[in-house]
Amino acid sequence: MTKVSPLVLFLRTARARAAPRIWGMKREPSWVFLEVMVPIISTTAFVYLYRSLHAPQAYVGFVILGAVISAYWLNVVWAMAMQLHWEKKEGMLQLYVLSPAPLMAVLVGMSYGGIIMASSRAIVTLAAGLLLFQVQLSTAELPMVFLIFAVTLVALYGLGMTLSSLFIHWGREAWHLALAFHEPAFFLTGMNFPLSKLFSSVPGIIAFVSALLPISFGLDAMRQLLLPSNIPGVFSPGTELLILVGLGVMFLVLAYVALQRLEYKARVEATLSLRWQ
Amino acid sequence: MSETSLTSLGSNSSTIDARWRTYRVAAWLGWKVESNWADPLVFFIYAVMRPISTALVLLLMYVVIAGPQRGGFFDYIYISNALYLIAMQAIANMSWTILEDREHYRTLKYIYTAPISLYWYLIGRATARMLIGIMTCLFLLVVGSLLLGLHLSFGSVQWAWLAVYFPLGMIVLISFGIIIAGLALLVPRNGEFIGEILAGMLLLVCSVYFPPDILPSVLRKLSLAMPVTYWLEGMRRALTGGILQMDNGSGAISPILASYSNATLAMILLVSGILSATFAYFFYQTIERLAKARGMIDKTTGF
Repeated sequence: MTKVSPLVLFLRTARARAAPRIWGMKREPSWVFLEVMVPIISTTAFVYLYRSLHAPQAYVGFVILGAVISAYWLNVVWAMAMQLHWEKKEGMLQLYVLSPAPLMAVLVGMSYGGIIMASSRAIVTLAAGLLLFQVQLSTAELPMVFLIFAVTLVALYGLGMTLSSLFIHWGREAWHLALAFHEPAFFLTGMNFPLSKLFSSVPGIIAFVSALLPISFGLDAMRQLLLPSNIPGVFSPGTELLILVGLGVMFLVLAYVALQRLEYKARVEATLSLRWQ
Repeated sequence: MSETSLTSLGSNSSTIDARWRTYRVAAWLGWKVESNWADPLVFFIYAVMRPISTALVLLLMYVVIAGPQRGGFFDYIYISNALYLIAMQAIANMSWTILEDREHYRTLKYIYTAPISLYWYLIGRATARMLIGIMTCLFLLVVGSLLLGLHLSFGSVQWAWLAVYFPLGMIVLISFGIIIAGLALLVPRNGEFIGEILAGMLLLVCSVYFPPDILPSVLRKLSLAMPVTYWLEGMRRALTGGILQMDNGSGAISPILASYSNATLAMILLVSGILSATFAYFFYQTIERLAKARGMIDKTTGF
């Protein structure tokens, strides 16, 4: 057998786990179409809500950007946090553990594939939103927007990897917990309204939980840059970028530690191959 | 089992008593499937956490534009959102009942082979989901009126109209739920999207968060063709004691819906209920035959 360096093995594993997510889109295009349609329909409802309140046009832009980023959040919840739980049910998790592939690389590959999947949905949602609702976005700070977006994704998928490790241990609860993460996250991250309004309206502990979700400051910073001088952010985009970098590092380290510990615990409790619980 | 006893079982299954038993057990089973993964307190928190979050999102969206006061428009969106939960449970989530039974728990084939009516089984499952929706809806309304500035009081509720609108709406919602369940039987790979798309469409065209008046012409016509639009309007009127008015006093929030009297709304719902229940029954029978012919009863594609 050819000896492979750990780095090469890591990269190969990540690429292999990303592949079904990327090529799967080609094999089931109806899923891509439907995954794009669902958020556009609900986004349209929120746009009309703002319109019926006679809100400034910038708020429509808020909703569109919220819908774009929600594609990644839903991907993190359903295709990251839930994924190892699915894999366990399908009998795949035990094969991952038996193989020499590092589990962290599996998670990185899932993230990469997930970002590609979610991006298809996000891009169409953005394009449809801009075309249908005539939203004007500022392009003056695009490099900064892309930087914040990239750091937000790293932090967000780091959170997804951490949750994924936790979800190995849950059975039917995992499904309900994933469902339970939806709407509260939409509220806590200010997906359809300014985050500053949330921070000025709720107790400190809720604001703290909100700050821990990478979408909150990522979306707030991008809104400040793409829809400038409309609604104040919580902090300046630069400060929010620094917080996101901190969150990214924290979640990646947490994911690594959680994966090691929970995998060991699952081995001890013999639950890695338990498909129905 | 002897041939005689099998025949007698088959004949019993068509009686009202057998259907009632199927309905009752299915409703109980539905409640267990939804709730027995957690203790009652955890389940309660789970059940109310999502709708409360959505209500808070709507509250902040309203406050950020309209300011701290709560006018008629807030009542409109808050009450509609609470009622939408029932519609969601009855209609959109019915596709999940089929998917879960067929593909996740893989019990649909056993239910089919049992001497019961699947039609009444589905109505029982829909009832369980609706009861959860009704409980959550009531919780939201109480929290809204106690803590969030919703204008709702026992004195202003038009109980007689509520007693008319509510059951008529339930007939419509359950009928739609059966139709959706039938569709889910025939859809092999995209069943999970049926509920999601329907939930989104209901949100968009049934005047949940905004009146149909502001929609483009095509969507407005679609909205006015949906019985759920009239059910929501009737329920809003019954709960608040009249037609909701704009915050600035410029008239009804929806001049189109305001032009319908209570009696007209009730008549629309009555006709819709009869038509949708009849259609759902025959539609489901046809779909079931097709599903059997295509081998869809035990098809596993999503899990």
